[in-house]
This record gives sequence, structure tokens and C-alpha cells, in this order.
Amino acid sequence: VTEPSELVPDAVLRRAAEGDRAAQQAVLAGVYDFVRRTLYRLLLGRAQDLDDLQQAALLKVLTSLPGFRREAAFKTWVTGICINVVRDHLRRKKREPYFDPFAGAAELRAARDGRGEERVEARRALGECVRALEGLPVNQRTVFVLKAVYGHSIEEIAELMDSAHSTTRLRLYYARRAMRKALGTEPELPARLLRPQGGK
Amino acid sequence: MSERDGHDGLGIGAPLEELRRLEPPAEDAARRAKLIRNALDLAAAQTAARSLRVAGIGRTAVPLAAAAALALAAVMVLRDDAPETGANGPAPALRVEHAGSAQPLGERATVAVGKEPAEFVLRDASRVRAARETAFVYRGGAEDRFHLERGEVALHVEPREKRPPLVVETEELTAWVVGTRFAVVRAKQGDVFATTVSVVEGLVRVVAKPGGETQLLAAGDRVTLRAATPAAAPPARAEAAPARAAISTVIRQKLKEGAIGTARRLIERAQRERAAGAAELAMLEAEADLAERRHERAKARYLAIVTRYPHTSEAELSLFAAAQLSRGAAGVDLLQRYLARYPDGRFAKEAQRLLATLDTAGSE
Repeated sequence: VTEPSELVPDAVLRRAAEGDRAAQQAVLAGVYDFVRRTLYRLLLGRAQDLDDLQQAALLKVLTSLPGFRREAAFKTWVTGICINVVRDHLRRKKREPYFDPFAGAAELRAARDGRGEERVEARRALGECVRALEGLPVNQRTVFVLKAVYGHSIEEIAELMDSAHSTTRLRLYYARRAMRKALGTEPELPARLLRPQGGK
Repeated sequence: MSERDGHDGLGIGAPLEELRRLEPPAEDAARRAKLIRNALDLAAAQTAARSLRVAGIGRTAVPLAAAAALALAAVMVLRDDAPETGANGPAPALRVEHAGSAQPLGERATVAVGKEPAEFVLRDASRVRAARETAFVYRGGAEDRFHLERGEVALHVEPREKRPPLVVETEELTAWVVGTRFAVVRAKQGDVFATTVSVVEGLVRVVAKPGGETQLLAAGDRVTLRAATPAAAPPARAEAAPARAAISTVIRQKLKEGAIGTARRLIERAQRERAAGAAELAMLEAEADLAERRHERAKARYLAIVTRYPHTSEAELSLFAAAQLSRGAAGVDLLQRYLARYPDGRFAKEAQRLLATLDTAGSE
């Protein structure tokens, strides 16, 4: 995977930040695929709102570029924008999912495109995992995905989400606990140990 | 078990690996170019709006509580190769050579800006910022109307209350400020001028010239109208087509956000103003029902669309949607009807697969 920092030279970033439209176009072309893939994974493979969020993220990259201080790598900075776009989107979205009358056929096709029972089982397990993740509060879900899917460290996640290390650890703890419960993999422990006192 | 395998014993190593390998669906180059172009235009519009605020226009003077009621409009109009003012354009009555404090425009003014941008103020305290070498005619009165000859103007419009909307017009279109943020760009495309309106927030009403077709644009939407050629060809209706779909885009967005009531109100308004096709609006009504989990009502609406608008693309969509919402023999019947009517339709393969599935399920 080519990273955006390799595709967008510093000089182009600077010209884009100064309002040069050609440079801005080059920046968007450079980050486009990275942004799309990042959003898609953060959305757990739900493509329904991908285009809207892609446009929002690209717009944010452009409008925030003058404030990019190069304290973080450009890729990290863009990832942070994607995370915020998805978090805002998930917060706006009501619990009740939008019913897409044409989604069923696509999902059916996806399932049937798999080969054999193994593939069907893998998709079932993925669906279960995604549903469990979608049941988490937005921040817990984001921390969990950044850790478990992207393999980021707690420090990196804290930086990406602009939050304290302790907050990040706590969110990950609660996310894992909720996931265990949702997936039915809770260890056999006394009930009182499964419900520690304290908020999220 | 390692953390990466199952994330602390959750037993979801395989699904997590699937999530790591997720790749977004393929998209065509045109779609990609459109998203990039939209982002560039929207960023330009936001920069124009921000430049007004940075210049100290309005924002600090607006109490926080009143901010929600403020009809804020940022309009950027470009006309880059019109005839020089004084040659074929209107004679400049007000020539501005220096950027300085905002100058009152009075009731009427014909303005030609010199080498530096300039700022003006209307009688209701609305502000206008004009780029260098901009020329426009302003007429106050019951409604404020700008006719842009060339260049770029950005406006910050005070609430219109019961007054008619502020109007910015070019040769190609008229844009009505109804309380929103949007950008208008006029530039030459090939041999003719084209004016593009991009909406940042809210709704904008655009009236094409000539023809007078009214279009409502929503956030993220854009419409381009080309000028008539010297032979007075009709306006490029094909170019205006995306705007007709604009209201449906915003309604679908509202449905996605769960704002069903707002979506229904927008549907009613669009029906009143004929801002979209009747069949499409009927489909949106069905989608609103679906969002409220009124599946039977949605199905009835879809079937009504099939009957009332049989030769539209919405009829095909609706027939397939009705089949998707049906179970058992009714579902099979509708899928068969779909395939009989649209053997090469958009959902023909899906319908065949669904039928095969139902057959398999029935034989188990």
C-alpha cells in the first residue's frame, strides 16, 4: 500500500495550504485511496455512506491543511481526520439503521459468491463480529478497531483520537468487556467481578 | 492465544483478519473525479465564507443566541473574461481603487473594482466583498439584486425576515439566497460561459435563464448551466439534471440520519414545488415508510408506483423493492413479474439468484 506521504511531496502540501488549486487537486488525488480504505474499514465494511464520508474527509483535508503543523506524519494526520469524520457520522446516525431495500440482494450475492461452507461460516463469523462492534459506543468501537484491526499502540490511538492514554485504555477495556458479552465468550467468573464499579 | 490472533481471547481472530483485509468496492474514474471536484469547490466556497469572517464582517457582532436565526450566505461569483467595463459593459459610476473600510452602496450602484479587493455595506448591514477587477450592478429596493458582469463577489447577508430573498444573477442563472451558504462560479467553458452553483449548507433555489426552470440544491449538490450560444440555443438542460436529483439526495440523507419527519416535510415541499419527479418522490415516501419499519405500507407504495408510472426507471426499482419486501409465494410472484417485464433489467441477475434461493429453501 502506497502511503499518502509518499504521494504528496512537502512542496505540494505547502502550495495546497496556500490555496493553489492544482496543488490541492494533487493532494486529494494522492490521499484518495488511503482515505477511502481507511473510512471503509472504520465503517466495518458498510459501503452505504462511504461516498458521503469520502467527500467530507477530502473537504476536511483541504480546509484543515493550513493548520497542519508537521508535528505528526501526514499519514497520521489524515488518519485522524478519517477517524473524526466516521465518529461524527456514527454519532449523528440513529441506532435504527437505514433500511436499504436493495441491500439484501447484494448481501445474498456476497454470501453466495463464497466457495463452500467454510466461506459461508467465515462470513457468518464476520457478520457476528461486526454486529457486536456496531453495538459498542462510538469511542469504544473506534479504539477497538484501531487496536485490533489496525494494530495501533495505545499511545498512537490516544494521539489519533486526541485523548488521554488513561481514557484510551479504559475505552479499550470496556470495549473488550462488551465484546465478550456480545460474543458469548465471557469467562466463568463470579458475577461481581464481571461488573466492576465505575462509569465508562 | 496472541492478541492479534483473537484479541485477548475473544475468539474472533478470523473475523478481525477479514476486517484487516477489507477493500472498498471499486468505483469508476468519473465518480472519483466528481468527488475530488466537489471537495475542491466546497473548500473554495468555505474559504470565501471564512474570508468574510476573518475580515470582521458580522460574526463578532452577532450574539450567540441570535446566531441560529442568522441568514448567512457566502456567495462567490467568478466571471473571468467578460468585456472590459467601459467598452461594452456598463459605465462605472463608482470606481474603487483601495481596500479600506466598507463603503455604503446606497440604493443603486454600478461598481467597477480596481487592482485591490473592496468591501461594501448594504442598507441592512449585509456586507459585500468584491475581488479585484470585479464589475457589478446593484439595485436596492424591495429586493436586493446584484447583476454580476465579471469577477467575484462574496456576500454575508443579514436575515431577510419578511423581505424577498437577496438575488445574485448572471447571464446564465439567478441564485436566491434563502438562508444558506453556497458558491457561484462563472467561468468560460469552451466557447460559452458557464455558471456553477455549489451548495455548502442548506438549500438554494436556482432559476435557469431562459426557461425559468426552478431547481432546489442541497448541501453537497452542484449544478452547472451553460450560456446560450449567439444563435440563442436553449439552456443546457442536461447540465441541470443533477440539480433535479438534488432534493432527493438531501431527503435520502435525512432518512439515513433518522430525521424522518424532516424528510417527510421535504418530500411534501418538493411535491408542492415540483422540485423532483413525482415517481421519485413517491419512492422517497416509500423509503420513509421503510425507515419507520412500516414495510407493508412501503410495499403498497412501491406497487402503486409500478402501476402509476409504468414507464419510468422508478417502476423497475419499485417492482424489485416490492419483491424484496414480500415473502413466500407473493415474493416469488413479484420476482417472476420483474423478470418477465425487465429480462435485462438492473436487478435481473439478483432476481434470478433470489428465485433460486427461494426454490432451494422451499425444497429443504
